Amino acid sequence: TFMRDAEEIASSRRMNSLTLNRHTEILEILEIPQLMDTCVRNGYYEEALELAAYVRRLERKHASIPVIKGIVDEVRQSSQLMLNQLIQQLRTNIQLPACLRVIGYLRRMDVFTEAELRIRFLQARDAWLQSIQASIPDDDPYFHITKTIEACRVHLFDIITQYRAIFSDEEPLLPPGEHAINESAVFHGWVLQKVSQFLEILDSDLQRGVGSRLESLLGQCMYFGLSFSRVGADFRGQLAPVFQQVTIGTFRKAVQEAVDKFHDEMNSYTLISAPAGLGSTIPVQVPTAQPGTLQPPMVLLEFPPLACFLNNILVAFNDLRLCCPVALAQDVTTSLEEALGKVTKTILAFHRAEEAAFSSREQELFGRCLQVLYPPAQIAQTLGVAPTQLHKYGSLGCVDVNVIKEPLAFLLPVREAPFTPAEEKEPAQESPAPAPAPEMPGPEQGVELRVPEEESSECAGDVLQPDGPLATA
Amino acid sequence: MLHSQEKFYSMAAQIKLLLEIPEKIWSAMEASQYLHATQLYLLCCHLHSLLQLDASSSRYSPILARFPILVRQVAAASHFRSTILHESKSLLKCQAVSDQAVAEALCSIMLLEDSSPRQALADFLLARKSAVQQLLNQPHHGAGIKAHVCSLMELLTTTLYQAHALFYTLPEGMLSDPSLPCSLLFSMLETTTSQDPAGKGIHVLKEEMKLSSWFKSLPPSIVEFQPTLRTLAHPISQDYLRDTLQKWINMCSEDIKSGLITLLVYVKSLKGLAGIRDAVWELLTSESMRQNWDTVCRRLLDKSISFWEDLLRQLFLDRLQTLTKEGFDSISSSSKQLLILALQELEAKSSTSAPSKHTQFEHNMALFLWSESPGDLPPDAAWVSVANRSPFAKSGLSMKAQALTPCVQSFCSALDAKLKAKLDDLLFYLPADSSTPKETRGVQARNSAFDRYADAGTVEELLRDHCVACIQYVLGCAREELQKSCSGITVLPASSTSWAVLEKSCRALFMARLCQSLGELCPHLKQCILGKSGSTENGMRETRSSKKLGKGKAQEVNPMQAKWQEVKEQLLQQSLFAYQIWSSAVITVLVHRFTQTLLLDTAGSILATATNWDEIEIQEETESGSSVTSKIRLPVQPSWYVQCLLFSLCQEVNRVGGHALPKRTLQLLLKTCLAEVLAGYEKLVEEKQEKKGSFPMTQNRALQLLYDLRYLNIVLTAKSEEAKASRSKQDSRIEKVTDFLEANIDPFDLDVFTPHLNSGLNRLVQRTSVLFGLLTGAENQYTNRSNHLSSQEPHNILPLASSQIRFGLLPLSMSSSRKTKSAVKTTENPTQVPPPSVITAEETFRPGSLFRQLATEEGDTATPSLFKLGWLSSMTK
Repeated sequence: TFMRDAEEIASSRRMNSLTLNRHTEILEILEIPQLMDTCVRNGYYEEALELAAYVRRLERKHASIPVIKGIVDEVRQSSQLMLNQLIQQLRTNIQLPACLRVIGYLRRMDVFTEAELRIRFLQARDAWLQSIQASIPDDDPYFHITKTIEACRVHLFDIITQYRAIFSDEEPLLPPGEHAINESAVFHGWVLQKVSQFLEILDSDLQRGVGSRLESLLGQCMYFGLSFSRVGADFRGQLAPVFQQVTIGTFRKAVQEAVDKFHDEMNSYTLISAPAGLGSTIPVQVPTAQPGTLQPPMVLLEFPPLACFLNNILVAFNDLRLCCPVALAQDVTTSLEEALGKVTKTILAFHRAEEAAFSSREQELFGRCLQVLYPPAQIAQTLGVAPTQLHKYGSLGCVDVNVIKEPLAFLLPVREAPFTPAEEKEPAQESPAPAPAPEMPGPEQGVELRVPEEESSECAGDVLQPDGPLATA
Repeated sequence: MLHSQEKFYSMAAQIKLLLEIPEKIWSAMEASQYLHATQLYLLCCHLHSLLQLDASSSRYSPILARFPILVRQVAAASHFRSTILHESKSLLKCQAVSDQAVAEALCSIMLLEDSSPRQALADFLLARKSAVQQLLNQPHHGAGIKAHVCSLMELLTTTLYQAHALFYTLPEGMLSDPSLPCSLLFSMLETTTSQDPAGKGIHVLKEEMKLSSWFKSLPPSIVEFQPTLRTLAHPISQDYLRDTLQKWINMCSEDIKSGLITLLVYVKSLKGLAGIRDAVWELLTSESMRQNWDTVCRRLLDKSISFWEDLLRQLFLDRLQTLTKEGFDSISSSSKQLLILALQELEAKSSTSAPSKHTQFEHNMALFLWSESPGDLPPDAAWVSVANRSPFAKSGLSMKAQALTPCVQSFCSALDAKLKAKLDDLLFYLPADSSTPKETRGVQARNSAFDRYADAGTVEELLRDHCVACIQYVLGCAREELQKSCSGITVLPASSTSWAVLEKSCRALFMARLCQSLGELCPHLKQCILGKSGSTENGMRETRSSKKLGKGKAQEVNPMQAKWQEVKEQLLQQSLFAYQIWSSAVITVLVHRFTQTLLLDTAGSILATATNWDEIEIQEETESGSSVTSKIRLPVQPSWYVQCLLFSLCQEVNRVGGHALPKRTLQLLLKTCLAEVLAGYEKLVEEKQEKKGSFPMTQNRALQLLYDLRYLNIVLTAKSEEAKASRSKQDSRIEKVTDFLEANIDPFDLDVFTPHLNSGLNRLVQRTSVLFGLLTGAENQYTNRSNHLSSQEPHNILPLASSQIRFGLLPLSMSSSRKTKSAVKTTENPTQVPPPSVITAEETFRPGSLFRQLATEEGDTATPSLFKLGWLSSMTK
């Protein structure tokens, strides 16, 4: 047994001396995790990558040795930390050179496919952009949208530039398979997503109302879109419908409010108090409309609800004027006509209800009110086509002022003829007069315009009847 | 006297013997020495006859009269025959008895019944058959099936071995092998019945009896008594033996088969089957069973016989088939349920208020793609390089890169888990290590009773077939659902531009993604179809073959590989079909809106879609040679509805994950869209040609339409080679429309306009190349880098009315409006509301030309309103 013991001792001594000789190497290996950790924490990613590569080789060769396994585990954790740190850097306000470095490291780590790397990059940059957007105070819609535009214009542009500097979008040399991931589409999709998000924010802020600053906002948005045309994302075409919608929405709301208010006032209106208005005491004279000027007929002051209605409508017009898309001509006209139609109906109802109590003077007054109802309509339509440069488009299709004026100018007198012989007090709405229609000059776009006007004018004609004999008498 | 005394002693000894024999028989019986018992019994019978105690003459027997006790002895002895017979026969039924014992039992039967060896053979086989029956009818318990089958096999094998040992006689001249004894029965019979006085045979009476004093008095006929057979025991001929045995085997086979079928029903897994098979294999391969088996079979039956092959293998295969079928049937039906459930969940989104995140993701892939989730990076993401990723662990990020939503993932993983369970179960039936070279397996096979893994190929085939059938079934369900949703979409009128159509197409999308990713996300599906060996070998071959793809396909295609390709192709087709449903739904909705707007033919609607035009200064040479600068106006933006269509199309593509959309689908989408759009333009042309519309086709309108059409054509034209063929057809259609539009433009103008129009068009295409990049692809993205923005370029493209006129208000006191409760003082226009406390008209007038004018004329109160006058004058007409 001595021999055996001696052999054992000798071999263990040999092992120990070998260990002693290789002490430094072994120590180095054992210290790798610590070193790696230090590298990662201090941002020496270059060295960290080398260490990781070395450990990976070690793992491949000696995966069965528990000590190596332990080292590998620790290094693995450090690499994970490094990965997270790198991605975290992308989530900050990082400049292009730093971006290039980070992506370089990520590429060398070889943990993402190309598509994944792109997604990861855009996700991280997106997170940063969103953090900026989220920090914009949301109290005032105008302020919010302005700041959002600014942030997007600057930072989104930066991100796109960074992306393009980092990633190449050249078509891969190999023909991709049927289900290959289209890497450039990742970017396109992201830009589209961002633009859609911006449009959503714009829409919601506009819905909340930015008041009279719509035009300046439109300008800013258009500049924003134009600047994006440099990166191939000119989205101005998407802005137009948004602004059109908001404008017409605002206008419709204002008109509706005016109509409601008129209706309310009519309910509490009595003719007795009416003549106290300015109109009856001070005969107001209104000059002919000079070119470039528009004025409301003072006569309307005799009839306060109507005057008030007119004022409200005019206020709405003035708002619209600030940012008035030509495209809305038809919509504005239609909504105005609808409003006028409602107002006329209200007046007619009032007329019928109070008829018995009407004195001739009151009737006259009422009639006069109705006569003057049309000037606002005229103004309205004039405004609808106010952009006179439309005529430069030739017959591209605009609401022709003359065409609208004409029926209005003619209608009242023309209407008289068919109605005078008609039975008295016949409600006009039930028998829409077919006669005027052919007489009217066929306006190019007349269909929509014609119907409500007829109705209104019939009402007018009906009510005017008492005046007919009066005038002839 | 001496003689008579001797005779007396003899008699006495005989009686003594007679009295003792029953006890000896009993003890022999107890020791299961039936042959000895039989011999004793026969001796007893012999004694009876000697003593004239036989029933026929007993009445007159003087001995009986003197020794009445003998009557009982005789009566008692008569029972022995049946007892011994019974015991012997029941011994035959036992399998775990030595050849010797069986031979003795058979001898006993032959001696007692005086039967022939053939009869003995029949007895033996009958007994064994009933033993088989007994085994089969025994109550069994789940785990005992293995033991059951083993004991059956053992019984059969031992029976054959024993038949050989007992009945087989070597042909003349052949030396018997001491390790393989045979014709034991005959040698035993011979020893038992040999009349050789030399006494080399077994004497009935044992030595110890010979020590008794009275033994000497027994007559020699007793002492040397040997039982005799009435007929000579001829050895059984080989032919007879073979036929009988064959018949017996056939008979037993029938019984065993029917019995085992009912038994195997209780085996519920391939693992169990494999366990039974392996146990049988071990039993039959064991030294004792295996050693002389082939020799024995050849001698007895002239052929080698394998009970596994003949009996069990088919039964096992049948059972295996049933099990596999059941397993895959259940997978199929559960998959169907899962599919329907998933679809219901998708639809539930619209009805319930709070849809789950997953469902949302299903509806909007972009949401899924751009939301970071904790599962995106697995904890070892930094360590595992792309090439080393396991196909089973998918990171969230890679799922996003492939546009695989959580719903699809969960369906696939559920299916995959089930397939994996099946596959794992099957692996028990296959050789554990497929890499064993065939040579060593061959060596093993020589030593084993049968090739356990002979069926491996069949089994894998079975699995493959069932797996393919299962996938086909799932595909069928998907197709059915697709057809349902497809018809659901077509049922909806085209005018329902509500997004109901797109909601419906979500189902199609889910299935499209499912089919697209099933092969990818269910790695076990591939394994099931390729088989265990195929997956590794072919993996290598696949890479190799792809490397030398250029060298032609000389390599024969592996059938398994072909099958897998076929399945993949089917999945792909289904996926494309589903995507097609989606794309047609999208196009229906979007293009319908587009066409509606396009065909609106009133001035207002045309105005509503108008864009700002650019003014360009151009220099022209007049006829006199001097150059004239003139301004032309050209469209620089397509109409809103055109941009809206493209943007919505992009949004829809983005919503389904454009980066992973199959190229073919995208191309088809573009192609169909362009065709539909063209149809809209053609309709417009038609209406114009019939002069139906109320608004004429002016030059401006024609220019804008031309611009729109060209732009659409550029964006929507697929750039691949594939689409070129179909392009020519559409090109002619486009040309027709273009011709019509150009006909509405002044030809001289057209000449001047066209280059500018085209350059503007190209610029716009570049400017929107990223925005509409999902449609146009990655090309010409960088070409616009040099394209610098001119600062003079108008930024606003929305035509605004340039009216500077401000409307004046009536001088109205606010008090009147305040009377009403709805005193709306909108925040937007605080400045325009007149000051509340106004009494005189002048004060309310705001600065403005018209009111200034009004103010100046205010004093002229006498003049009646011109308007009124005008009206009155018209009244008088």
